[in-house]
Order: sequence, then structure tokens, then C-alpha cells
Amino acid sequence: MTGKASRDWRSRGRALAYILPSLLVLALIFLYPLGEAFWISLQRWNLISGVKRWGGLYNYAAIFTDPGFPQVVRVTFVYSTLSVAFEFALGLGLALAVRAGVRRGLPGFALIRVLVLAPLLVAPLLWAFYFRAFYSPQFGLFNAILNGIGLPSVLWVNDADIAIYSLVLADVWQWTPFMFSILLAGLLALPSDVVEAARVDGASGWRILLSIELPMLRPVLLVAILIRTIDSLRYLDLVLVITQGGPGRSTEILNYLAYRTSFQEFQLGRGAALSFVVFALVMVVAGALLRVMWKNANAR
Amino acid sequence: MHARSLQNFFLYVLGIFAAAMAMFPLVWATISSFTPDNRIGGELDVTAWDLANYEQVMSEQDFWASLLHSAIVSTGATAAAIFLGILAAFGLTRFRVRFRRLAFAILAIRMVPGIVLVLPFYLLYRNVGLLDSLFGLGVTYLTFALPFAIWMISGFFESIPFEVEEAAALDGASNWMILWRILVPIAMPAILTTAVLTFIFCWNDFLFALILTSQKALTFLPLLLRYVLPQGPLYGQIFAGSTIFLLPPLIGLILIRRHLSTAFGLGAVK
Amino acid sequence: MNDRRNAGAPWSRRDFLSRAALLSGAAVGGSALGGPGRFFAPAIAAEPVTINVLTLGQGIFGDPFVNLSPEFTELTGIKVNNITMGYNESMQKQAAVFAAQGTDLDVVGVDYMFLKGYARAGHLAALDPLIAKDLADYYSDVPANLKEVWSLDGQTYGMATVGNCQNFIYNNGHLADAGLQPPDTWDDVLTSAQKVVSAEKNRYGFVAGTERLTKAVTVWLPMFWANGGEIFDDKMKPIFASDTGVRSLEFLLELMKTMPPGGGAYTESDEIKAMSVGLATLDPASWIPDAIINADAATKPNLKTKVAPMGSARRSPVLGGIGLCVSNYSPSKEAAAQYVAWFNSKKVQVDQIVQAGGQPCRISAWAANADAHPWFPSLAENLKVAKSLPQIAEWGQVDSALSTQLTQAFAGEIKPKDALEAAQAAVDDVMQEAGYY
Repeated sequence: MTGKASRDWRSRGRALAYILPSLLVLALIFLYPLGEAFWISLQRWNLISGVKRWGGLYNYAAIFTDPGFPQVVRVTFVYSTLSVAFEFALGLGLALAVRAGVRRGLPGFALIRVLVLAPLLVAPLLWAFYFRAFYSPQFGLFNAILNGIGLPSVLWVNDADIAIYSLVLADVWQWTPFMFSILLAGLLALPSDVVEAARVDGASGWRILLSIELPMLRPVLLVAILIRTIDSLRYLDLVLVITQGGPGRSTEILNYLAYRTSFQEFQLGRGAALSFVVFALVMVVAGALLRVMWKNANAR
Repeated sequence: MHARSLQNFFLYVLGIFAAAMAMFPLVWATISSFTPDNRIGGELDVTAWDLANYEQVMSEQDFWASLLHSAIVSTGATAAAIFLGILAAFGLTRFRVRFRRLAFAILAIRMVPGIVLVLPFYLLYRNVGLLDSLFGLGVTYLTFALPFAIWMISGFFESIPFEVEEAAALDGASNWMILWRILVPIAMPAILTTAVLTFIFCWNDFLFALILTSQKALTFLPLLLRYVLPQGPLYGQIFAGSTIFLLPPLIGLILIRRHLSTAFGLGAVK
Repeated sequence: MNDRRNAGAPWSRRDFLSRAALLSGAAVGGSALGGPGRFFAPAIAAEPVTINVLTLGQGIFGDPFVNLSPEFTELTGIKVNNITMGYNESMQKQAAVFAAQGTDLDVVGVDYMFLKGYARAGHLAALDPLIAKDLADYYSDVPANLKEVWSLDGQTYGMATVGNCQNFIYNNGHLADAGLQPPDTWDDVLTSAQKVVSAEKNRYGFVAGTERLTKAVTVWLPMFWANGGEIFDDKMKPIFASDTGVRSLEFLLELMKTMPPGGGAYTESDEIKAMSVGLATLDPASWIPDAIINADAATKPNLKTKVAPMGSARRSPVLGGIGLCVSNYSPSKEAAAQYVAWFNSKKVQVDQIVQAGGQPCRISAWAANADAHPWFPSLAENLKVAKSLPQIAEWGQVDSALSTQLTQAFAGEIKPKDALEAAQAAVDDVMQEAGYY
């Protein structure tokens, strides 16, 4: 790379010029509502009676001193961790399989690749209704199938011990294609020259995968996990439609608690405060993930 | 060769199983939508098919209007998000300058749960007259679409080596040209994937549409949720509506699938 | 604040108020002259008013408004925009619009639970100055509990329009098989439920929706109230963790043992389905008759209804109902009030509302329509003794605190006494924080 590089690699200013339009848009449409929401979280506001009083940090204190709070956090973590972990593992496995199938020219894999995306087409809210129907103890499809092959019924969402895992199942079923499509796009975009070189050198398929392709894919892998984790912590359609936090409190995730407090108890202040707690939680988790990501990037 | 065909067999089993599992809920719901409502459940009596559920949903006032509104808002928000996202991703990843905090801030916007923004947006829009407008709704979608697009495309841009650009830079190409003539074509499958996913997020949004629109900008999901009564959902109509609602993204996906699968392997430096 | 919403009706506020006054004056005059069937004089206003009406879209709280609004428009010239959505969404939407003092809703279908809260907050227009004559006629024809429920401090803020409360559906065939008569007291309900359960016939006794949102509380309340229990005392302090409370909850748990598996978190859709296919036998807390409407051929002839079971003190099914109110921020209050009055007028209630898919609230209308559906006579009886939920702005929080504990008791995670005491402590905090004491 000689002399007249017309590309100014290190110009922060030029880089910012490209980022600026997005920043402006986001600042304009986001900062005001966020500020207003935070202001609401400092009030004690009942939407039905309209009574609005200053509370300062009252709402936040009430949230953290609620004896049920640790349980809610625990349920949230169980739900999100299991969901994302399964979605990632299954999505990656599927992406590798589909890529192999396409590469080998196996007929039908182009179709499989599209069919697998089917759950993404269904609105998450409506997907929750599907599973609400499936999980009905006496009339749902799953128990009908189980009984049909001679197995006893399962109380999918009526048993406090397993309800959360049934929700994880519904979540994984819907979002694995999301991971799959991102990971597959990433795999297909990898430059083939390095891989070719390794193959010429005689390296096996698995070896190439593990030592070359996956490391190159790291940014995409981590973005996928990051986005999915963030979304999972904010996702409440399944709980809202199927269990409403029950049986007992076994499926009460933090975001659902926030929703219920705002929209069913009509306590806007405390609901907004709970949402900010969710926000803080997501930031902490995302921050931790990113630290891992950037540490590895630096080590490269 | 024996090992190879065993591997192929295994790949097929996996692929077919995955496709079947993915299609299963949809197919079942679609079949159920053709049965009278009170028979939704484990029993599938396929002798009585009728279109009553579809007729009922499609005769809702605003049915066609709501579909059109969903399409307009989602397409507009996606186009804006992708365009701005490409620019921002370029700035964030291709200049050998670290923008860690900025990138995190952008991502942080997407971390905010929708429920926290809905009421402030309502109050804001009421004051500036954007309630019940497609433009207003589209703008709220940017709060999750734009950070998503930026992060996704950044992730893909990051895995493209810098060497790819160097040849063009040597030839005197400007940043703008490098972005649009080289990077974007290479990352096109990824960008299209991002566009499709962004569109789907917007298309499937419910909370913002419910609170911020009522009639002039009504989108499809709030309309369909009329079939959730105090005593529970009318599954037949909901499944029918759900099937109708997934057709446009499905058609869109089919139309662009060729673009999704071309250009793989173009990461090579020519 | 401007009337952007009404395209093509650029009246100044003064113009509008004077014309509307003329209109309502003419309407009152017209009814005084009393043409047969014609309750309102035809529209005099030169430019059409349009009102936005928020109701459900389906079912008894939606169908009448969607189906009959065109006729209202024909009679009065007032155009109607039916804004319809699901139940939860409608409640959230109206709460948001009221909080922002939005002018985009004129008539609102308000669940009676929120009526006094909204009225106290100034979100609803008092109807007495707007439709005094209609109200007088209406009050002569509705049970006292409805009048109490829909007014505050002597002013009327809504009209019941569609009356509803819990009804008692039972399967006569199952009872007869076990040699039982339809039970009349709660104790009889329990013994019948226990006797009817049969593994080989795949038959269960009691069934009810026990899900966390609203249902958990309203399935326990009838038993609690029927035995003399009260949720609050005069000072609005919660007192439900009394002996009566604990015993009634234990009673409910006994009943739940006769439910199909999964009864601790049973959805209302499953409750309805269970009755409609003959899986269960007794549903004393049923909110809608869908079980009968959708019953399969074998079960339908056996499904009957009767008045709510008697406790040691009274019968007390829980009152329900979404009625019509006028938003205090509406720019067309007079037209909106006319809409509300029309749907509660004698003619519409007696002749039209049932046929349009709804249920009436007037006593004369219930009498006239007794044959319309087999479950109507008992529903009318139940309406007379139905007890309303506390109509406080904090009910959402109270329900949430109670149901959180109740569902844990249903799941067997905590004992009834502990559940109610924990709930009472939580509700005590809520009421204290809200400033009741």
C-alpha cells in the first residue's frame, strides 16, 4: 500500500459524518420520550384516578424491597438464558447443516432453507395464541398427540414447575430461525480464499470450521447472541397471552411485571420504574457480553 | 464415498426434521382456520371445511385499509432504517477508529422495552398532532429498527477484511464509492437478510400500533385483536387472520430469495 | 385543542354549542310530543356531526353497537365512527386517551369497575344536564344496583346498556345420572360436584376459569360474599382475611379438587369448552353462555341454567357489564349523549338490542325477551341480586395483589390462610398509599 491512499483511514471526522444522520434521527425521536418516561417513573401516578404526585425514588425503592422481586429476576434469567442458549446452538447447527447441504448440491436444501424461516413470518403475538391453544390441558393439540400415541397428558402451562420451560419451548421454536438466518448469512459471506488455502493444505472440514471459520464469524455470532438476548429480556408476548405470570408466580418475568403494573394495574409511575429496571438489567447483560466480544477482538 | 452418503443422509434427516418442525404450527393453525371456531383443539375433523372464519375477518370494516397501512409503515420504516443503517455501519466499522461507546449507546436504545416509550410517545404525538398517522407510527418504529439495522450490518461489515477495499482505494475511489460499489454488493445477502428481519419486526408490531393509532392509520394486528374477547380468544378467526397476515411477508420472502442466495462466496478478492 | 378530527365541519365552538343546544332541545321536545316509536325528532343541524364510539368489536359488548349504529344515524343524522378492539386493548386505550385529555373519543364503553374512578378524575361528562328526560325514564326501569353502580355523588356518569353478571350453568344429565337435584346452596354444589366425579365416564364436577387475570378473584368472591364476607370495611380498610375469607377459600380449594386436571390455572376458554363437551358438570361463575351455544349435540339438551347458589347470608353472583359513557373532553357531548340514551331507550332495549347480539339492562326488556335465549330467565334473576366489585381507581392493584396470592394457593404453594393474610397486607399498603387512611 503505497503513497497516495486517497482513503483517510483514521479520520474520526469522516467516520462520524456517516454516523451522524442516524444519531440525529435517534436523538430526536428517542431522547424526549425516554426523558419523559423517566420523569413518569419518579411520579406516583394512577391512570384511572389521574392522581399524580411526586415520588422521587419511591417507586424504585418499592421495587427493590418487594420480597417477590428476587424470584422475578430469577425466573427472568432462567427464561432468557435457556431460550438464547438453545436458539444459538440449534440455529448454528442448522445453519452449518444447510450450508453443507447447499454446497454439496443436495436437492431440496434451497427449499429447506426457506421453509425453516416459517415461524418468523408469524407475529410473535399471534404465535403466542397458537401455543395457548396447543398447551390447553384437555383440548390442546399437544396433549391430543401425546394421548394419541399412548402417553399421558402433560400439564404444560398449568403446572407451576414446568410452565416456564413450556414457554421456553415456544420461544425457542419461534426464534431459532432468526438465529439461523443471521448465522447462515454470516457463514455465506465469509471469504473463501483463506478456506481454500487451508483445504489445499489438507485440513479436514471440521478443522477448518473450528479454527478458521468460526473465529472469523465471531462478530456475527456475538451480534446474533446480543440482539437475541436483548430481545428476549424485553419479550413478553408469551407470558401475556398464555400464562399471565401464573401458575402462582412461576412465569412472572420482569418485563411482564412492568407491563401489568402499567396497563392492568394502571400504576404508570411504578410501571415506568419497572421498565427502567428492565432497561438497566438488559444494559448490564449486554455490557457483559460486549466486554467478552471486545476482549476477544483485541486479542486477535 | 460411503462416509459421504452417510453424512448426506444425516444432513437430510436434520434438514427435513427442522423444516417440518418449523412449518408445523403454521400448517396446523391454517388447517384449523378452516374449521368452525368451537372445534379448535386437539380434534381435527377435516370433513367440515368452511371459509366462515375468513369471511368474517375479511368483512371487518377497515380490513383492507389496515393491511395497506401495515405495508406502508413497515416498508417505509425499513427503507429508512436500512439506508441510514448502511451509512452508520460504514462509519462505525470501516475507519479503523473505535466507536465503542457510541455503538453501545445506539444499541442501548433498542434495549428499552417498548412499553416504557408508548405513553410518552402518545403524549408527544398528541401535542404535535401526529396521533393516528402513518408517518408518526413509522417514526416510532425507527427506535428499534434503526439500532437493529446498524448493529446487524456493522456485524457483517466487520467480518469483511480491509484488504478488499484497499485495491479500490489505491485506484482513487472515494469513501462513498467504496461503500456502495464494493462493500454493499459483498454484503448484499446480509443486508437483504437484515432488511427482511427489520420489515418483519415492523410488520408484527402491536403495542405502538394499538396505542398510537385508532382509525386513519389502523394497522392489521389491532384489528385482528378485536377477536380476543374478555372470555378468551376466538381462535378460528385469529388463526384465519394470522394466515392472511403472514402472506405478504411470505410473498416478499419468496420474491427476494434469489437475491438472498446469490453472491455467496463473493468474499473472494478478485 | 382543535377539532381537526371532524373533516368538513369547521364550526367555531360557539356555533357548535348553540346548534347542539337547539338539537337537544328539539329532541326533548320531540319526545314530549311523543310520536310512536320515534324517540327523536329528525336531525335539524345543517352539517352532520360525527361521533367516535369506542366499544368492543365482538360479543355481547360489541355486536349491538356495530349492528345498530347505522339505524341510529338514520334516525338522528349523527354519523358514527365505530372504533372497536379487544377487551384489554379497549381498556388501555381509553385510559390513555383520558389521561391525555384526548378529544378523539366521544362515547366510550367503560367497564363499570372504572366508572367511579374516571368520574372522580373528571374524565366523564355528567349525563343529567344532557339527557334528563331519558334518564328519568331509564331509572324507572332498572334495578337499584345498576343505578348505584353508574353514578357518583348523585350525578349519573354512564348508562348500563348491556347488563351482565355471573350465571350458573350446570349439566342436568350428569346430575341425574348421580341421582342428584340441581344444587341450590354452595354446600350442595360441593357435595354434588364430589358425587358426580367419575373416572371411567371422564367426568368432573366443578369448573371455572381460575387464571390469574381477573378470574382468580371473581371465582372466589361469590362464595366469600354469599357467606357474608366483605372486601373492605367502611373506611376502605381490607378485611377479607377473616374467618369467612379463609373458610371460603378452603371451600373453593375443595371444589377445585373436582375440576379437570390443571384446574389451578384454568383458562376461561377451557372452562367454556369443558362444559360444552360434557367434561364438567357445574359452572356457577360463568360469564357468558358460549358453553350452551357451542355445545355438542350430546351435551346441549342437558345444559341448564339457574340462579346463583345461596350461601349463609345471600346469593351474590358478581356483577359485570360495560356501559356507555360520554367523554368529558368530547367536542360533541350532546350528540354523544344522544347515542348513549338511544341505546338505553325502551324501544331499543325491548325490541332491538337482543336481536342485534346483546343483552338488555332494563327490567321490562328482560321480561319481554325472556324467551329469546334459554339462559335469559336465570340471568335476569341473577342480575337483581348481583353484587358489584369495589369501584375504586385502585381496583387494578387490589385485584393484582389478591390474584397473586390466590393463584399460589390454587397451585398448592401456600396455605389459604397465609395467602389471604399476605394479600390483605399488600392491599392494605395499596389503600394506604392511595390515601384512603
